[in-house]
Amino acid sequence: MTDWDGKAEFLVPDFVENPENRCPVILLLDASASMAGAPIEALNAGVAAYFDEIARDEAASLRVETAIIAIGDSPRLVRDFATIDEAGPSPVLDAWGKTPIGASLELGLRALETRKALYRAHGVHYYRPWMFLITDGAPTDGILWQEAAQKIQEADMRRKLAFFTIGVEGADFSALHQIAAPSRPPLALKELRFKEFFFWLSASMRQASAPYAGHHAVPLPPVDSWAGDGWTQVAR
Amino acid sequence: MTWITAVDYQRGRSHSGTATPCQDFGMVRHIGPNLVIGAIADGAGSAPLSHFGARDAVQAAVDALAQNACAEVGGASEKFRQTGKRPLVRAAASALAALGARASKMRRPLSDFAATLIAFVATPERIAALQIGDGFLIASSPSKPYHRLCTPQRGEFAHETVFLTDADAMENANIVTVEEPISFIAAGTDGLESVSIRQKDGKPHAPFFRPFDHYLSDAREDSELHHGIRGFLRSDRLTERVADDVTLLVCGWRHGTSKQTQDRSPDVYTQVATGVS
Repeated sequence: MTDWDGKAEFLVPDFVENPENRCPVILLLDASASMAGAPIEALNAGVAAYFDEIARDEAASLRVETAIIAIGDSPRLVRDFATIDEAGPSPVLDAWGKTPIGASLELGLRALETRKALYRAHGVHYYRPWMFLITDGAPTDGILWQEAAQKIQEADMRRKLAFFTIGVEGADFSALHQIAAPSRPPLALKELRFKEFFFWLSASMRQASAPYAGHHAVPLPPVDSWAGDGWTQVAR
Repeated sequence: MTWITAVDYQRGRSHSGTATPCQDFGMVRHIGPNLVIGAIADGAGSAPLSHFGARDAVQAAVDALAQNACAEVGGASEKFRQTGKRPLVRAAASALAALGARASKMRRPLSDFAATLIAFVATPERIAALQIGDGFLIASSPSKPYHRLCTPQRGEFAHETVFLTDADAMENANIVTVEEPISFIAAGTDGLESVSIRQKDGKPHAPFFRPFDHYLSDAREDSELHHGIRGFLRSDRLTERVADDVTLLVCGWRHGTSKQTQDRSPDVYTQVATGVS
């Protein structure tokens, strides 16, 4: 009888090096005039802490790609999608201008589509993108915000992205409820707990990018450190 | 000359700490000296009973293929070109019916048993194959390097795929009939794709499959090939890299012991049921 124990050791297939799967997340952050002072300082500190947390996690640092749009006068992409080692330092937002939420949502959708096209062109697999809108006011760009909101809600309903809305103190929650995904109503940020929110966001992205996270809904950490009762999981 | 064949599957460490058994399954069967039938399935991670789904689908597909494969695939070339896809259509229908019967018996929705399915029937001159969902089925011969036989079906997002239980699964199933020399076949579930298939163009990574081909050149019995596959699927090298359940089925047309009809699934070797009562 042949002893095959030794033979098994010689079966050593070479593994192909494929790119890591990407977790794209886009943050639409209110940087309008009403955020001047303590709110924008707390927001900037929270964003910096978020990038620090992502960098500390091995899987997240390879997989999570974060883009940031500043909502203020004309919305601008202050940080494009990139993994933590490819992007520069955390952006610092200034508070000025109005709150064109509609134009910001449109810019966000375009940035996402551009990034997905790049992924597809290079054979990079990606998970469902997450989009966060954080505002302390009301949209100032006429009916544009209603059209944009409809697009995003439809995308959320068709599971093309997961859309989250957060209102800072002073936000027009009536408008936010019209913008938010019906399955995921807006949450109110307690006081200026941006640091707690961004810690929660980095923990959520670590869950979403974990090596085992391929096939199941992503469980979200509790939101009570920064909001009331809230979202519990996101379908893959 | 004969087919040397083996299949094995391994529960992924993504399930550790849970009661979820391996949701992959595979089976390969010799029919006479020239014909080989195989099927593998990957149960949906989110479907609670997909380990039943994978096993029932594979068993039903292989049984259905065994009934008529000789006539429609092993016969004349003209007949193969005209009717070679039919056994695979029937195999998929049988697999789906088996899931329906299980769902009915257990009083659970069909979707609880969701699984992908890859099935094939081959001779050294031709192959007919079906793919619903992700995973890979590749073949090669001395004159044609490793190449995919079927196109996988994916959603837009990583790990998003279609399942046999989806309403439009049969409409979108990829069924092919190919007449070409076949001396090597390999089928694997999604878990192994990340290390064996190049994402940028979807093509097989030859250095992954070549060692199995070479291993086969020394193997005389199915059990020898099985030993090698089992060792690989349980190796630290693989399990550190891949957290998912994995299944690998390999067939090689080689000098070996002449076979009658024989079933090969890991249970034949280990006599241990894996997660199904």
